[in-house]
Amino acid sequence: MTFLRRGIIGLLLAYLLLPILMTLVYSLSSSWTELIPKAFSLEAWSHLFGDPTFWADGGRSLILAFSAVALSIFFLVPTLFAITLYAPKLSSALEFFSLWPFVFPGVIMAVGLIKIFSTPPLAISGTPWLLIPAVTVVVMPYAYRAVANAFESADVRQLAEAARSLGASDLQILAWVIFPTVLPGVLSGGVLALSAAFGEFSLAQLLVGSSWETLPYYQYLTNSQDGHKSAAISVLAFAIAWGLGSFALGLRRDSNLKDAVTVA
Amino acid sequence: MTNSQAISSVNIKLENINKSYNGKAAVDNVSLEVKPGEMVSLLGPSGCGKTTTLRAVAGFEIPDSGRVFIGDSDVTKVPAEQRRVGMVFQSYALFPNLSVAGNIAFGLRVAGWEATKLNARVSELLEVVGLHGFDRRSVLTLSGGQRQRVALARALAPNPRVLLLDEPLSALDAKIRAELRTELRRLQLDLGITTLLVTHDQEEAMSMSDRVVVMNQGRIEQLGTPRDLYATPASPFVAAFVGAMNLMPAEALGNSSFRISGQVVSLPNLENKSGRLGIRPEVIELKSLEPGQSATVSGVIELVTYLGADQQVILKVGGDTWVARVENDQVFARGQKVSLEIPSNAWLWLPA
Repeated sequence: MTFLRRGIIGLLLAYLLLPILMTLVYSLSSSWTELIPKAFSLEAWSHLFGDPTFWADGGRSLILAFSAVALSIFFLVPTLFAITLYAPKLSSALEFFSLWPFVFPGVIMAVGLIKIFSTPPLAISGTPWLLIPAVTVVVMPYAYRAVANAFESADVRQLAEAARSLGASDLQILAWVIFPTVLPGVLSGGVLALSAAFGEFSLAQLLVGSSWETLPYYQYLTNSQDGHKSAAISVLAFAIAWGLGSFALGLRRDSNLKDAVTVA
Repeated sequence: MTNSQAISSVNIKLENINKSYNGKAAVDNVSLEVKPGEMVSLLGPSGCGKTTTLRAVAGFEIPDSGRVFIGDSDVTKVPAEQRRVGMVFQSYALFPNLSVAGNIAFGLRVAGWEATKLNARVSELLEVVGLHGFDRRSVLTLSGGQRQRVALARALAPNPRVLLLDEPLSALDAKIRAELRTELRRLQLDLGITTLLVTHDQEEAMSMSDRVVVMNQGRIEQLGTPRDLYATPASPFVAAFVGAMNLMPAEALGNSSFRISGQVVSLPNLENKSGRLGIRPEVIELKSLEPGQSATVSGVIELVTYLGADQQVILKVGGDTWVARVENDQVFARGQKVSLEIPSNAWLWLPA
């Protein structure tokens, strides 16, 4: 039994890890035309890290990802707070609408946005001022889940009532109680939103393209020139996502630990 | 808990409060006055309207009709944050991001107290609730009892006009609950703060309050001191909810005789009518009957539950089940035949 179980887990791990491993190997090989690579080199990686455009594009991607996620959290927390307190019946409607960005392909959204924002009064097409809000919408479903889960695990309604009986206004409750209470949960759940924003390609390509180049766009351009370098970027992206993921798990384990202490 | 400065007490008055949800009355024409410095319990099963009534005082529910007064002011439409009530919740509702001191100081921060006064007040309250030295601790590391003490200190810190307790002890272990019950009552008396307590636990209501309001289906069934409620329950509901009561149909046979559970009992001081009679389990005394002996009221023992201080005996009397609470030194066996000795003045008429 355990043999079978181990075998299945091993197969699954191989299925998940082998492509990443091979991509890593490819990024480290200099010529690979037969079954096994002929020679290895760090050339692709040194090219990548030596390219100032890579750093600039990576920086833009980080700015894009963090501001999109921060914006979506900034909008979602007060919205969920208001709905929890004053219109709980609307929460299922909100949940439904939060999934809409999944329904419409990025292309549709991009075309629509370009049409509206290419002409005055708001000619911001091709600038991050259009890309960031657009990506904010795209990551909304992920961020919504994160915020909604954090709201469910904290008894927001009761906390708000306690604060209100102590004289606090809605704004004070939101800023002093609700935001700090749900933030750890939101951050750990928000990592998915962060990687979605970081890896967002179709909107980045169509809305800004080379005028505000991000990392996925950089990789897209690299792909046609140097496959090894492109592979290096992929591995790097995996590493970043993995790092963020374990950080998020760590956050969650911390809060679980706190709960465990509470029960004891 | 130590003494703290007395608060100038005000009353709470409810006038014909009504509140319904989806056409179903949760609170049905409730009027009530809690006198300055008094502690009153709202007691009843879940869904009886006690919590909704308390929340109307807190400002978390706006009654469909009726008025709420705190002191001289009509607060019916005043938002909760302006009512200056201290509220303690069953689930503590402590702010998890703040320390013990941060929680207690919350209401003072909101009210804009300056730092030295605020700190002095926080230490004073830590002392009052017996949590000296806990100020820097995270509330997440505290036990349930400690958390509820913090919640109480937080509610009292900004000098509220009245204190509202919503099942404050229900989430705690029996031992801590009993301990905190005494402390809470002592503190309430020391401070002289007008307090409304919601509970489903009759022991809690009886032991902590000056007066108890028994609620059922949104209405007040009876309002009185714990002693009154116990001695003269106004309805079978109150009789059964406050303490335990054997409720038996009684048929008047004339000549001060009644048929109860198939037995003929002479009760000279009771009005000659048929109806429902109640008897508290602890006034019944049990004597074992030798074979051949008879008694005015006799029964057969079904189950004996030893409770430490005393024992509970379930008996079959006629076709009915009776409960008696007797001293713990008697030993009874299942199926044993016993005589029930009941002082004739212990019987109570209860409306059907």
